[in-house]
Amino acid sequence: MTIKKYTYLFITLCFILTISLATLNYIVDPYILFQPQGIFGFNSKKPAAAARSRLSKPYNVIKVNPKTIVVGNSRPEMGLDPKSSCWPDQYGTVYSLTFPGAGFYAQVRALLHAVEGTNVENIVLAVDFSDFLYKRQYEKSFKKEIIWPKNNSEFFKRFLIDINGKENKNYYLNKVQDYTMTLFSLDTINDSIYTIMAQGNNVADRTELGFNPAKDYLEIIHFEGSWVLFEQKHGDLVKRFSKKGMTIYDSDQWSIELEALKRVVEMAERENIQLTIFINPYHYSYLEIIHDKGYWGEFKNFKKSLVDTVAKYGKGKVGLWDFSLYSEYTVTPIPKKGSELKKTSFFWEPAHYKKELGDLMLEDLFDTKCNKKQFNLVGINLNKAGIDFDKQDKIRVKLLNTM
Amino acid sequence: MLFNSYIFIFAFLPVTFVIYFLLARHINGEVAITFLVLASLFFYGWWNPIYLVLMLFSIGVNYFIGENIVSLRFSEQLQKAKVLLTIGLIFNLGLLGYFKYATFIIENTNQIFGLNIQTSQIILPLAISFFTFQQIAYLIDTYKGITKEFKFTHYALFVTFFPQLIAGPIVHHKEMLPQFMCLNGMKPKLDNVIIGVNIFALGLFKKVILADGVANYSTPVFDASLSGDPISFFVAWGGALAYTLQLYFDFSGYSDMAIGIARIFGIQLPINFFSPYKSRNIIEFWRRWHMTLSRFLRDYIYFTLGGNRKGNVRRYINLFITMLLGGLWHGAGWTFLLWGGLHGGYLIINHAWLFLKKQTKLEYLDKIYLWQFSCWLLTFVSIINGWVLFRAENIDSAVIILKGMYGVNGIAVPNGIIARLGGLSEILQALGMKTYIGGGMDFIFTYLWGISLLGIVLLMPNTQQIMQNFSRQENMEGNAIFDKGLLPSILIFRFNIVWAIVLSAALIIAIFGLTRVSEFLYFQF
Repeated sequence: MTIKKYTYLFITLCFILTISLATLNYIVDPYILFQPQGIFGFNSKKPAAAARSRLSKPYNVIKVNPKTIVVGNSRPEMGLDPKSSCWPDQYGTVYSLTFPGAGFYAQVRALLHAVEGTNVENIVLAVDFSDFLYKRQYEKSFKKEIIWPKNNSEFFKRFLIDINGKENKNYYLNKVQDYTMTLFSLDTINDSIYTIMAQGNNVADRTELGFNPAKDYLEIIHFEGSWVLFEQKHGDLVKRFSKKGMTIYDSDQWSIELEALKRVVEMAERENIQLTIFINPYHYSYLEIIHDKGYWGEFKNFKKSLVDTVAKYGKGKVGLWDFSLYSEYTVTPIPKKGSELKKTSFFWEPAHYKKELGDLMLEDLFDTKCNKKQFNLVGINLNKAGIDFDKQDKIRVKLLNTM
Repeated sequence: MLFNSYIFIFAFLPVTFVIYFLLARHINGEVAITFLVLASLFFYGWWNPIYLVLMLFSIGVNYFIGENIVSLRFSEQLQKAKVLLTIGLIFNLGLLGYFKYATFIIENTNQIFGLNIQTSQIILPLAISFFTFQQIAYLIDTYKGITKEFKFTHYALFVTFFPQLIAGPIVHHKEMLPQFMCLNGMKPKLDNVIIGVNIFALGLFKKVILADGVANYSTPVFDASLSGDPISFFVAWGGALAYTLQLYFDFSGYSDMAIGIARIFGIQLPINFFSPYKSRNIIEFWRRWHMTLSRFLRDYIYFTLGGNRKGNVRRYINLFITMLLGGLWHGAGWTFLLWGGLHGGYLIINHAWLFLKKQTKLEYLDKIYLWQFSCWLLTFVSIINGWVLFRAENIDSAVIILKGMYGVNGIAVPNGIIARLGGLSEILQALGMKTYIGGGMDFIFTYLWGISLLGIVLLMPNTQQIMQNFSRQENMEGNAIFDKGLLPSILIFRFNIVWAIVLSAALIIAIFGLTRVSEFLYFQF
C-alpha cells in the first residue's frame, strides 16, 4: 500500500470509528440523557447512571416537566419512589431531583433550577442532619461574601439560574458541551458496554424519574448478607460523627444551609408552591451514633432551627415533618454476621430507608391510603404537634430496653 | 498546554504545523524557526506566562556564555573558557538549586539545628530540570568543542522546541539543529507526518487509556497510606504494581507523543524507553529506562567523577553518587534521595555479582530459562520496591506500604470475593486469610489491570520495535540502539490495512478518553 493510500484509509477509518462510537453512546444512552426509555434486555436498566445523576438530572427534570419534585440526597432517592401509588393523585408526575453526596446548598440550587425551568407545583424536600452539621470557621467579613456562596463547579453550570437567581447565560452552551462530551467520551463507551452487559436483575439502576431502586444492594445482601451493608455504613458514620467541633450554625446562629432553607421557604411562598419538608428517618443505630458522639444537642438544635425557619418565613403554608424518631419502624435488630436476617425491615442500612418505609411516610405526609395493612404513624407533624424532646427521650429508653 | 488535550491536538499542533511549513516555503527558514520558537514559548507559557521570564533569562544567559566559550576556544584561551564554563555551571545549578531545592534545604536545616529560617513559597517552574540539564550539556559540549551555535533563534529552538520541552527526551544540541538545517529539512513530507501521527497515536493511547486507567488503582492506595492506617498484603502489592505500570505507560507514552510530534516536523528525537520492565538485571534496566537521562548522568556526572577508571571501589562509589544525584534530580525530598540511593545500591550489587559470576564461572546459568525468569522476577520486584519510595509522599507513607507488601499487616481480601468462593473461602479463612468490607470491585480491577498491562509490557514490542522500518535505529554515536529482536512480521508497522485499523482505533479511542484530562507524572520533576 502506498503512503498516500494508507493516509486516506487512516483518515477514513478515524472518521467511521468516531461516528460509530458516538452512535453507540447515543443508542445505549447509559446516563439517561438522550432518551427516557430503553429497550428491555438491551438498555432499559441504567447501572452507570448511578454515578452521573449530577450530569443528567438537571436536564431531565426540565424535559420531564413534573408537577412534583422530591429534593434531597441519596436517602429520598432510594426511599421515595416517584411511581408509588401513595402519592396523591393531584401531585401528578413526580420527579426525584435527588443527588447522592450533594450538600444541602447544592440540593437547593438544583431545586431553584427546577422551579425556574418547569411548572412544578409541589416540592417535597427531604433534609438530613448530616448535611447541616459542619465545622464552622467563618470570618465575619467572609461570611458577608458567602451568604449565598459563589460556587462555579460543573454541577452549578447546569442550572438555568445563577447564584443571584438571574438567568445563567451560559446554560445552553454548557448543555451542548455536556451532551457533546457525553457522546464523544470513552467513559460513556465503557458505560454503554457495561449497560448492555449488565441487564440482569440485581444491578444498580436509576429510573427515568430519578429513583434509585437499590437493586445493587440486593446483590450484596444475596451474597454477603445485609450485615455487610450495616457494618460498612456504621463505620462511615462513626468516622463522620467522630469529628470534633461540628455545629449546625455559627455563633450568630447562621449557616449556609439555614440560609438556603430560608430562601426555599420564601421562594415557595412567593411562587405559591406547596412545600413539604421532612427530616429523613434513620435506623436507631444511626441515632445512637449521634448520641454516643455527643451531637444529640446539635440534633435537637437542628430540629428547632427547622421549626423556627418554617414558622418565621413559611406563613403557615409549609408542611414540616419529623421522621427521625425512635419508633417501631426504626428500632429493629441489627443484622449480624452468621445469624443473618436476610432483609432488615425498613432499612437497607442505618442511613438509607427502603421504599416500603417511604410509602408509609407518604401516607403520613399527604394523608393518603395505599397500604392494605394498617400501620401506625411513622413521623410527627411538627407544625401541629411541635417538638417534644422529653417524650422522644422516654420512647427511646423504652424501645431500646426491648432490644 | 498538554499533549493530551483538545486544544493541543485540534488547534495548536495543526496551526503550528501549517504556519511553520508555509513560512519556510514562502519566506525563509529563519523566519520559520523564529515562528517555531515563538509557538514553543506560547506552548510553555500556556501553563503560567510568568514561567517564561525565567526560561528566557536562562536561555539568554546560557546563549551568551556559550557564544563566548566558542570565541575563547577559537582564540585558544582555554583557561578563560574554563572559567566561563564554571560560571555557566554555577549559574544553571544555582537557578535549579534555588527553585527546586532551597525550601528542602532550609526546612531540613531548621529541623537539624533547631533554627527558624523563614522561606517564602517558591513555585517550581515547569520543566526547569529538563531545560537546565539540556543547557548544562550544551555548555560542556561547547567547551569540549563538540558543538557550537551562533544564532540566538537556533539556540532558543534547541532549548524550547515544544515536543521535548516539558519532559524530554533530553536532547543534545548537535543531534537537533543539524536536522532542522539539513537539505529539505523544512519541507513537509507525508511519510514523516503519517509516521509521526501514528507514533503519537500509540503514545496517546498509552497515556490516556493505559496509564490513566491503571492510575485509578494506584492513587487510592498511596493516598490511604497517608492516613497512617495499615495496608494489607494484596492491597499494597496491587497499588505498588499499579503505580509501576502507570509510571511506565505515562512517561513512555509522553515520550512517544514527543517523538511523534517532532517527527511530524521532520525531526527524529532520541528514544527514551526500550521495554525497561523486560530487564533481567538493574544495569539493563537503566539502559532501557529514561535513556536520555541515563545518558546525561553517565556522560556528565559518572564520567566526570572518574567512571570506572580508578578501580572497582571508586567505580562503585561513583555509581552510588551518580544515582543519588539522579534521585535528587527528580525532586527535593528524602524519598527521592532514598530511591536514588537504593538504585545505587542495586547497581553496586549487580556489578559485584557480575564480577563474582565471572570469577566463579557461573555464566552458564544465564542459559537456563528458570534462572532467567528468576533474574527477571528479582529485578522487577526490586524496581517495584523502588517505585514505592519514589511515589510515596513521605517516608512514613512508603514504610506503611512496604510493611503491607511484606505481610506485616496480614493478608486480607474483600468479603464480597470470599463470599463468592463457596467452600474455598472456608479453607482460606482457616489458613489465616482475613476479610474486609467493601472494595471488592476495586480489588478485582486492580489485579485485572495489573496482569493485563504486565502482559503488554512483557509480551508486546515497544514503539521503537514496532516502527523499526521507519525510525532511526542508532543513537547519536552511531551505535545500534538495541537488538531489534525477532518479531513476528505482523507486529512490525507497515502501510497496510491492519495497521491502519489498529492505529486509527488507538487514536480515536484515546481522543475519546480526553474528557478526563490528567497531567503527566514527569511534569512534576
